[in-house]
Amino acid sequence: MIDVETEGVAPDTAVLRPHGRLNMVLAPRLREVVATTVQGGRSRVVVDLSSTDFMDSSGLGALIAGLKTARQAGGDLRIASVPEQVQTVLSLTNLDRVLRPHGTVEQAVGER
Amino acid sequence: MSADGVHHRRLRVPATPECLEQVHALLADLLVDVDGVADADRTSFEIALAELVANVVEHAGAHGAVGLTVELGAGPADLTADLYDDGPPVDVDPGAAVLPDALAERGRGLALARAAVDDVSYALEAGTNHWSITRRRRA
Repeated sequence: MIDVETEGVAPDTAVLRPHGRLNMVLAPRLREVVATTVQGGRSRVVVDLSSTDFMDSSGLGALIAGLKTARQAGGDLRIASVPEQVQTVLSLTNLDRVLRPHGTVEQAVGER
Repeated sequence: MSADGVHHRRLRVPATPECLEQVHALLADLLVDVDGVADADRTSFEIALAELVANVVEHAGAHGAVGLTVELGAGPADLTADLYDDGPPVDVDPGAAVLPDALAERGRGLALARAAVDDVSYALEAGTNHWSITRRRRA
């Protein structure tokens, strides 16, 4: 399941919150949700990973796909509240510079 | 537990995306029995295990019902997993797996597994795909 939050943020911003394991089961859904969100005019996407129990390479691929989708629309995709396991996956794949973890959703939203 | 202090768990499941949850649960159940496994060892081992199971599931994809056997071991020295599946043979050398470009959307699984554990190997044994991984315990 992926929550989409648009209340209390700027009209060009959305906060997405995947629940459970971000793997081959949920990753295709995240790609769809990012694409729909960006098409709907919210190209500044924050993915809140606080409820993500585990992420594998397909979840990582979905974040990269989302980053490209958001940037093509003039926006960005940021990750926030990154659990230790996700941080490990980012480090092992050298992607912690491309997908730089933000401490909180507020920090990820606030930085322009 | 066997005489050498190694605990084991075994599972046989159809190789479908749903089996991933069962494999994570099997590992959690195994580690209840083993004292003092460091978070870093568990996390790294679980990352590699999940990648290899996902690979088997993906490869099995269009080939009808493929059975997957997962054998996990946890002892004082290391964490191990052996995966056996009767899907089509895999043409891959885990030792040659490298990370793709930063903005690639796929193709990281095997390289990630290799980076997370000490050994990843593959062999075709009498028509069965056999993957194995070993993570030596750091703490």
